[in-house]
Amino acid sequence: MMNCSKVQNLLSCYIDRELPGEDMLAIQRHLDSCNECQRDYQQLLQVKRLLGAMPVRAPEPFLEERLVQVVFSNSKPASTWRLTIPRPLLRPLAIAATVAGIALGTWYFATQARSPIQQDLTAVAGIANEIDHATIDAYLSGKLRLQNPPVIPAEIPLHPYDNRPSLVSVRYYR
Amino acid sequence: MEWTTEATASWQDTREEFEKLMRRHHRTVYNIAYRLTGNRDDAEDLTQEAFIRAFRFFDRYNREMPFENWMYRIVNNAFIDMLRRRPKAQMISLDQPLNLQDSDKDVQFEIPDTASNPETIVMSEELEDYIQRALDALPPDFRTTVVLADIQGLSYEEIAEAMHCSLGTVRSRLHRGRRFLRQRIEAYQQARARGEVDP
Repeated sequence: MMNCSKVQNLLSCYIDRELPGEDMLAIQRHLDSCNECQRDYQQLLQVKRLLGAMPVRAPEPFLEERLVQVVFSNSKPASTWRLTIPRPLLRPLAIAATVAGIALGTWYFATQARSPIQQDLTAVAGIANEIDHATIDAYLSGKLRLQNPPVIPAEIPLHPYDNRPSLVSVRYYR
Repeated sequence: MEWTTEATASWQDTREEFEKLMRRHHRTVYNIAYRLTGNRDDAEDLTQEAFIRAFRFFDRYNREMPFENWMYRIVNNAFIDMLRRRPKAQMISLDQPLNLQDSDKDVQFEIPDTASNPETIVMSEELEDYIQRALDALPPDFRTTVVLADIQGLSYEEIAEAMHCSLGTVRSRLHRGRRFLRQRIEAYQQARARGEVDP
């Protein structure tokens, strides 16, 4: 129910049509039957119309050029630096970078500290990190000689599935 | 191989784009600046400051938004900063009761029939002056809200975006701003009728 107090608070929204349809209708109905609110509405509408009728103030002609002058003299382009590589060099450089990367990686792996068995096996078999079953078998069967034989417990845990020596346990034995 | 700066070409494009927008919209910005500041010198300063800031932050401008709408927010912020730098001007709090005599409460404006098409209202310089002085007496946020709504014709949503506030705040400021203006304009007219104010 729209009482005078509520209607008067919503009059600006009503004037600007910023209310849902049903509220607009309810206010309209109230205004039709309430002189005080109708007067309030007319006066607020007058204010809006007067403001809208105020002449547009134009700037002096010089302002436009002055703006261009001032705005762009106040700023500088942000500098970004870039390495320019001549096109013919791009492909050889990319290849060289990849090769260097691989060489670096291999050297890194080769010199990383490992358990003795890993180091020996790596040196012998050239395997970076994984020790495969074949290598372990070869070692265990005596076919693979190691410079620093690790101390391997009498019982090497067998892999639960295929009864082969467990990779993990061998890797970590000293 | 050599080090180069690749910035020059794209800055030129940016500058050209901005210059085009600035030339197209500077009159609108100036008009708002004038209604906010109330005088030509301040309006020119405010317009200039707004465009300097706009260019500085142009890389943040979302091209899907109308350029003017983006400028309204910048103008509003620059306007507030401008006021902060000045000694506090006499501004009437919206909660202060105005000195209105009851018998004069229903004094009508001396204006052409407002029931007619608003675009055909011919406003005297005197009335324009009254209204501008009334605007000048409004606190800045209320003033900006009224200017954007009733002079620039923005929707509540656009105003909320420009002023970085809620729709409820827009409604409240606009409503109270209009009521205040109505009372101020009436007060000026009464004072003038009594010979207390120079037209």
